[in-house]
Amino acid sequence: MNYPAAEPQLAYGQYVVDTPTEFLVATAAYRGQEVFEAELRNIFYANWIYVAHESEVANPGDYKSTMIGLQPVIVTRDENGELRVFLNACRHRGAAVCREERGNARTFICPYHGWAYRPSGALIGIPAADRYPDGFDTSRLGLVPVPRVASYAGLVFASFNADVADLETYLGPAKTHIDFWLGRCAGGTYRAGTAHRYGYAGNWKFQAENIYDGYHAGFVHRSAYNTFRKFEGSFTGRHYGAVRTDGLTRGLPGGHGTLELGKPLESGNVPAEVRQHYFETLVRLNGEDKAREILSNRHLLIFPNVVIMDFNIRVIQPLAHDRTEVYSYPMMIDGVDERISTGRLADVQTRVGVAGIVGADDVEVFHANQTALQATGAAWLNLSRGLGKEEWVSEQESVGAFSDETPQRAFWRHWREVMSSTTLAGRAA
Amino acid sequence: MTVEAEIIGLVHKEAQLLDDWRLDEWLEMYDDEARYWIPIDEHADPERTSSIIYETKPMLRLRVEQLMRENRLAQSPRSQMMRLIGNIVVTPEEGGLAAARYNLMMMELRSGDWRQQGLGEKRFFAGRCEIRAARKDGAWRILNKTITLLDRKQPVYGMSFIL
Repeated sequence: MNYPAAEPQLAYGQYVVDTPTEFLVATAAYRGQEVFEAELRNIFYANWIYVAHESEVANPGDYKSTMIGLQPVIVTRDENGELRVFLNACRHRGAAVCREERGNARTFICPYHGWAYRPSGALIGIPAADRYPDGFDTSRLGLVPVPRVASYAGLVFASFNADVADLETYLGPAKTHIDFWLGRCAGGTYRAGTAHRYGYAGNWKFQAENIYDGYHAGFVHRSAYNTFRKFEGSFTGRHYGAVRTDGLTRGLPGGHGTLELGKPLESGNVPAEVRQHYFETLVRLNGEDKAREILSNRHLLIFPNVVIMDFNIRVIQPLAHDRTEVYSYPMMIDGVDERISTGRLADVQTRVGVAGIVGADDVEVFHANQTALQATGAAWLNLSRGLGKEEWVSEQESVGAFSDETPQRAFWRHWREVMSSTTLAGRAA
Repeated sequence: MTVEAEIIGLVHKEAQLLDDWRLDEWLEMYDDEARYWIPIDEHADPERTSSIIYETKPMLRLRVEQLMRENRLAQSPRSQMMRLIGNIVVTPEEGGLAAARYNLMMMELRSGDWRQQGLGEKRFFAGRCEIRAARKDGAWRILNKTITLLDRKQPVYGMSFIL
């Protein structure tokens, strides 16, 4: 058939073609600076974006330097225990006041001229201040706050959009899946461990859409799965055939989505009696059916760029239209047998860590994707798998087979909606 | 031959086997109880904290199997590697043991169609290595190896081979 031409005449709202027999996404949606800047404006600076887990800033003075889109921000716990998020930019001549990734500080002192700020953001010191005019108002010169900060289940989000809907509305039915993940604490609490970090030379959406892609595993990860088969007892449950038929995918309103394996997380070399005791605790707290749901293996993408998979929180950080970093925080559970956390950590690290036996092969495909973006004549990607065969459990929630592109379509329908909006503006307070 | 000369020979032999993709022979240089560690935080307990790699010999055997006898996507085309080793200091210990510290500079290239993303780029891995070895049945076996990379806290790009 003749596909519509994608460039240059289409508006972003036309980058997604959604008909009963075909679902197409323009390759232009991944390509170049212009669409990336529009994504920053309409997605990263207009929505809730994940910035930290509460445990990373547990105590007064704790801070974490991170990014919302490309903007450097500092997440702090102030003197009164409040979570704060600021632009990491001195109000004097604009240098970044925080140059470490994490730590605890009583003040942030600008390296340029020594202006000093509290973790609350308040400006508390200007060297040789007598040379400023009489009536110079320093109370207005605190670090610029990001206007909205909220957390759900320990996940801290912030938004540059003062008018954004409240966080729980934004998360919508994704909350159910966050709650299952939270339930794995079994009465304990999560503590974010040191992140596994890797990067690739490609668009951020390649990683986002791959999180719940149940179709690729038997191909991209064949060498890993073949190897696991040869070593009995290694990574039980990861022995996929070419295309897996059990499990499901789910598209949610708001662009969120899941891949659900429909069976428990693997043993992770945690001793059987420790796992049994852990499971019994989950049953006691939740009943057996819900305990099984809690332990069921699932990947959740919270639009646009934060993922919950295994016990981990994974952040997809765009640095440019063709450059992305991924930070995967293993979530250790304080208050339950430590071997649950350490066993899961070792399992996840070897599979999908920095040098993962499984994960490094995904990166290879992202590079192949990025390379082919230059083939502008191949203007459309086809995300039709499962279209018309999935089950709609509500007006905006659809369930497909494990290998269907159901969550990707939910992502792109939402992407089209927010990218079509011209009313959103990315600006701080 | 002195212990020092033997350990220097061991370090160079390991580098050569890795450069030459003779990973089955490389693995046999390690003791059955060996630990291979590329830390993110070299001061932390690797059982409780994330590392780039922290593995036992059975896990390393899995990696060798994948790299040598399965068609790994991220190694098609394969990495060509060149290791430079310098500043070796060997410390003989009691009871047939020895330790060594040295600096490693490894250059890696995957060629293929070098114009494509992820290919054609010479990459550098710089780190400080520490090994401990034991003499068993007349040969030195590596008990522990730690590679502390300069950029260990930053994202690592495409580590799909054995460093």
